[in-house]
Amino acid sequence: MYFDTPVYFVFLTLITLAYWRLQWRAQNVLLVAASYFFYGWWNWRFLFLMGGSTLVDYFLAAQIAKSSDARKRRLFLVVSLVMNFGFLGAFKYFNFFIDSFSHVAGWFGHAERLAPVLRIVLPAGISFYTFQAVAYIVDVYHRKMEPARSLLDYALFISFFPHLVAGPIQRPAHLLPQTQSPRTFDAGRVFDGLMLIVTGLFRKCVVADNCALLANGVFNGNLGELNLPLVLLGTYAFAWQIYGDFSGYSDIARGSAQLLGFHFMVNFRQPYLATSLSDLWRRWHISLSTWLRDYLYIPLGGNRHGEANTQRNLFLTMLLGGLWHGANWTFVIWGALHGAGLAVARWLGFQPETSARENAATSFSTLKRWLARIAVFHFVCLGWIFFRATSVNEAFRFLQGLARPTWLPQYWIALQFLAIFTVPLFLLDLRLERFQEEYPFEKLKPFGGALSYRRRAIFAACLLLAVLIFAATEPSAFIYFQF
Amino acid sequence: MHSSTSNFEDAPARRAIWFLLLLVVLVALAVELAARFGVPFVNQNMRRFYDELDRAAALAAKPANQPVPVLLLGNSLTFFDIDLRRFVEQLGPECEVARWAVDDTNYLDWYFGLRRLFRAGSRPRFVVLGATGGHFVSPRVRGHFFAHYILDRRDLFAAAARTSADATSFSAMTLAKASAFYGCREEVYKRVMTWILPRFEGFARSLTQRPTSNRVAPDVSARARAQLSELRDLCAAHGAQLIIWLAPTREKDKYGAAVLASARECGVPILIPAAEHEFARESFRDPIHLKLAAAPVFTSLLSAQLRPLLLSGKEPPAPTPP
Repeated sequence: MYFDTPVYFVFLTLITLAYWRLQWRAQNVLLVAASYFFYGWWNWRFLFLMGGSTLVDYFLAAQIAKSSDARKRRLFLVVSLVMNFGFLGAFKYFNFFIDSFSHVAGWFGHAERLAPVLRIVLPAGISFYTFQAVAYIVDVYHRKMEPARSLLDYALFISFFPHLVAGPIQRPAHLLPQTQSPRTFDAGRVFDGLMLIVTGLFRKCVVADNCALLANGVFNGNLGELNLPLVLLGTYAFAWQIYGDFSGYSDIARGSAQLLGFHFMVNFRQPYLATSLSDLWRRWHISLSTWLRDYLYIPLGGNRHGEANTQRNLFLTMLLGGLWHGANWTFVIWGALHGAGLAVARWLGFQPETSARENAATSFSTLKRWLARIAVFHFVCLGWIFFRATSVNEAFRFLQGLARPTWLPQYWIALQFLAIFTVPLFLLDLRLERFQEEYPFEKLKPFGGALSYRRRAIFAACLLLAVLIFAATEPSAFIYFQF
Repeated sequence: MHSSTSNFEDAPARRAIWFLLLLVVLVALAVELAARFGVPFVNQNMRRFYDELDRAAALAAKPANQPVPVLLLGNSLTFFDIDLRRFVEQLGPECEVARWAVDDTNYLDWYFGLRRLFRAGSRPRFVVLGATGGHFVSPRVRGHFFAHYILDRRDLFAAAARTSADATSFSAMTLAKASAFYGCREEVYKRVMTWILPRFEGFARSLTQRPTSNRVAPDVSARARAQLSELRDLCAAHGAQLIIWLAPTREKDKYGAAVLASARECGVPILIPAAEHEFARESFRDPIHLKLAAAPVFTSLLSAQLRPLLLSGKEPPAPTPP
């Protein structure tokens, strides 16, 4: 079930109405049932996979917490990690490794013997719920948290439908306690949740889906031979497509959770206003970048063993982060680019300010800040070319277009089209950045709270009207569903 | 709405939620009403759609000495390639022609559209359907527009099965059947975008055009046979005879041969009014549509081949219960 389809909103409305009429334990039962229904709507067969791994992880975590024998505890941890990463590897990377080995074997004339024999369907959301399960088991192992008190609570933590298929990846310490205690109906938060859902729809259906039209047109060669303006237009369009797509999805997920009394971590904080690469990764897909930091970068040694090791760890973390996105060398290169960029920036000692608040407090001039933003945005765009391309060859073919500076009059309409759908989101981001808002227009209180709410409601209604009219007629699936 | 634990100190927020929900309902109502009553009023295509649908539905069975009722069915090719006024003139007063041409439609749109027309009481003696070979074997329908404007409510499940709709697509199809706005959202989007960017339509077409391939799907002949037989039987069950024609194309119609052979196997009369390359490349406005100047020439070719068939005096097949 996609968040941008009418059936999702029928589902969400029914669940919300029923949910607030139940007591806490019954609410959890309802949410687990609804989440499994939500997941099974796409493919019921994979319910067994998710259910099975939930069951095993729940019992292994309980054993880890109960046991005082270090060897036993480590054994349970390893079993859980092998199972979780085993499923992920089998479903996500099997073909990638077989294809890669076949390719290498082909150099020695043995390609046929290694040719792939399985074409496995990737279960939606497996990358996301696997990371949540791993975080849980590792935290329990390190005694950073108690294991879940009941299987129901843990099943809800793993399968809760707003985050199930594309995150945000929730930390056990943040979400699990919420599943284990009664939720409060807080009208203000419900209102904020509705605002998030509407802005999320705007980001996804209006900005992302329209930018997708242009990006796909350019990448598929529909606008003619690639040249400098086309490469720029296509890359900018994809940059805003993926941002609108994923941040829109995250907003709808957060908003849906808030309707049910849950709070999810913020996943995007105006990433294209980042002034450095490290700043970017504090703003882009925050739930993943912090997961990688806590469960990969720090266990690798983080910045504790000298400069060279820190840079190696940064690079490795980003490389694996790239591979997490998909089983393709293009994602590996994308991760490597970011890893190298972070390492080089650190080596050069280039660590500009991290937030608007800090910016305001320092002498970092507006001009310098904007130059830094533009530079970071273009570095990110370079990475997006690899991210979007279906193969490394296609990415390099695309990059070759940069050497042909030919302007044709028909590009003007493409530029206008891009501006129409990206400038509103850019302005919204500027406002969110300036006022450091977590919810759109939450600090709009010139005439007191009540009027502010009403004004925000009118703003939401206008956005909804824009969604109804400007939503692209060829909607594209959420990009992160494939990861 | 109550909760197990509730905070009653947030009355302004509660009022705001109701206010926002009220606005959402109002916005939804406004766009629905605008789609039902405003769009046909301002959109020429939609007005034509309704006019043609009414005329097609009004085609009634006639005795032998009355003009033969002919339904001219198809997509934009029927609209652009046939000069309707000339066509009617050339067929003469012996024929009563009603056109129902809906842009961007394919076999399944026509099949379910015909079912709807027949159910509405339309009784043409001939259904004349024209397109390229690709349109006859395409598994696609015209999205939400199809669901709302072409499909009969009773065919919802059948259409979902034929289009291999999953649960999400089926729910969207159901909503589109109920909501005029959802059904014509594409038209609204195009119109608003064209108002903002005057050359938007051509630009959007160039963005979404699919690369052409010379590969012909292996099961195309079987599909063409099955679909043409199905359409022939549907027409026969309502006392009509199906006649199809293949439109000229700028490049070779890669599915044309399969459709031609299948039609002959199924006993469906098939006309090819223009031989390959009869129209020069310059006669086409795009890969399949003729330019305005070439349409009268094609119309004459088509009507010359069609007229003898329509007036052959052969009795149409006896209606059989569907």
